[in-house]
Order: sequence, then structure tokens, then C-alpha cells
Amino acid sequence: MKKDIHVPKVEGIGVAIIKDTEEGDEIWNVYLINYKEEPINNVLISSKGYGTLNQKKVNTSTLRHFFDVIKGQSYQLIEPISEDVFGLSNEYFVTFYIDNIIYDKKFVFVPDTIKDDHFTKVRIIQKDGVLIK
Amino acid sequence: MKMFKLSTLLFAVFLGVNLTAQVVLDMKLSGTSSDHKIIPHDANSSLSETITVKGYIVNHKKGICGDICAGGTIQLELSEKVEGYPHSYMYIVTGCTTGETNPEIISLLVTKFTGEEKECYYKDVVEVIDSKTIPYYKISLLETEKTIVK
Repeated sequence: MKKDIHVPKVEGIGVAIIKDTEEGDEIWNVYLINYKEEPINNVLISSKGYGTLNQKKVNTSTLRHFFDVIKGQSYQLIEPISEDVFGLSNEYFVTFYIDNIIYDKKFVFVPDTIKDDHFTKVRIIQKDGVLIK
Repeated sequence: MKMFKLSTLLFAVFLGVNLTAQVVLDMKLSGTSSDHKIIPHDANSSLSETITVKGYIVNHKKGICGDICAGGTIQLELSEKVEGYPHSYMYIVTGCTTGETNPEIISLLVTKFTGEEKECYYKDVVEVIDSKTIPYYKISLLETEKTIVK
């Protein structure tokens, strides 16, 4: 029965978009943060952008990233993100395992939310950025 | 005896076809990105950093998205002269995408390709078009969508 299916709730995982500086140049990077004490395994993240730009519907390609393990209380760089997609919804669908149980959660940065006004302190990375938890 | 001759003939044909197929496959695999390299702009390059260009795609090697991330390359025949760029063709590294090549004139915002890019589709490219020593430019994943029709 549908009500018997247990859908594990995802807690302690966040996605943050941080403005880093590399060799004097500013670059926006996307990070996955594991706030849990235990590691998460077989982490698969698929990312895509979609929405409307100049009154046209736009979809970017879907990129996939896989990480064997992300340790507890740590973070992992997923990918850089270009400013020209900030006007789209940027979606990160995260799937991972803990003790043979699969978890998944979608993190969506809606259009025009990736900006300094929305920065918060991202504790584990010790930098400011836009965080969804 | 007749059956033996027929069997031998069939076997010889089968072997011949398979050997030929293997040779063709090997030849096809060897004609890929390892034949040419993406030429990046060096620090002394006098070409423009960022340009908006218009033209037709005359050669298109598409990238791959999914479990493998690999960019593509296009050769753009410029339909308008571009200030700061003296060539008739522009060679561009693209992101990955799916769809048929856009046959219309497209307008692209390109930036210099330096070889230091961090995005996965710039680090690995499926197939490189020979730019004949002309340095490559690049376009973003979003701009890449203009190169195809869905």
C-alpha cells in the first residue's frame, strides 16, 4: 500500500553557491555540504537550468556528478556556475546512501536569487554564499 | 565434398567481412579528438577578450551530457566582419547538448579559451576541429543551446 512506503526525510544536507576568488578572478562555485556527523555514500548530483530568458523558454543540458563519499561535517565542490544562468531556475537533484538506504532531495535556486543580498554565512565552508538547506 | 567447399567459402567470406569491419572500426576510432588539439589563447594574445559574433555553423562536433561530461566544438563561418578578429572562421568550444545543428545564422557571445577553465565540458572535448593554428574561443552552456534546434 502507498502509505506503507517509507520515504526517508533528508536532513543535514545543503547546497550553497559561493563567490570564490581564484588567481584574482571571481568565480561562482556550487558546493554540497554534509552537516551530518556520518558520511554519505554514492552521491549523485544532477544539475540543470531552466526558465525564460528574453521571453524564450530555455533549458540547459543536464550535468551529472558522482562522488564516492562525502565525509561528515564536510563539503564537496560540485561545479562552477556561470552568471549568465542566474536568471534561470538552477536545480540540483541530490541522491545519496546512508547504510544502504537511499535518500534524495531537490534543491532549486529560483531566478535572480543568487546575489549578495541573499548571502548568509555558510558555516562549514567558512564563506558567505546563498544556501539552501 | 561440395558441402566442404561451400562451407570453406562461406567461412572465408565471413572472416573477410569481419576483418574488414574491424579495420573500418579501428580507422574510425583513430580519427577523433587526438588528431587535433584545442589551441588556447596565450597571455600575449591581442585578440578581443569577449566578442559577439554572428555566423553559420559549418562544422559541428557535439558534446555529451550525462554520466560523461564532454564539450563540443564548432566552426563558425562569420557572416559579419568582427572588429578585433581578423579571420573568416571562428573556432569555439561549446558545452554539451543534444539536438540537431542549428542551420540558421546565430549570434553568440564568445570569450577566449585559455585552457584553465574548470567546467567539465571545457576540460574534456569529444572531438576537436582543426583550427589551423587559430586560437579557440568558448561559449557558456546557455549559449550552447543556440547551436542546436530541438
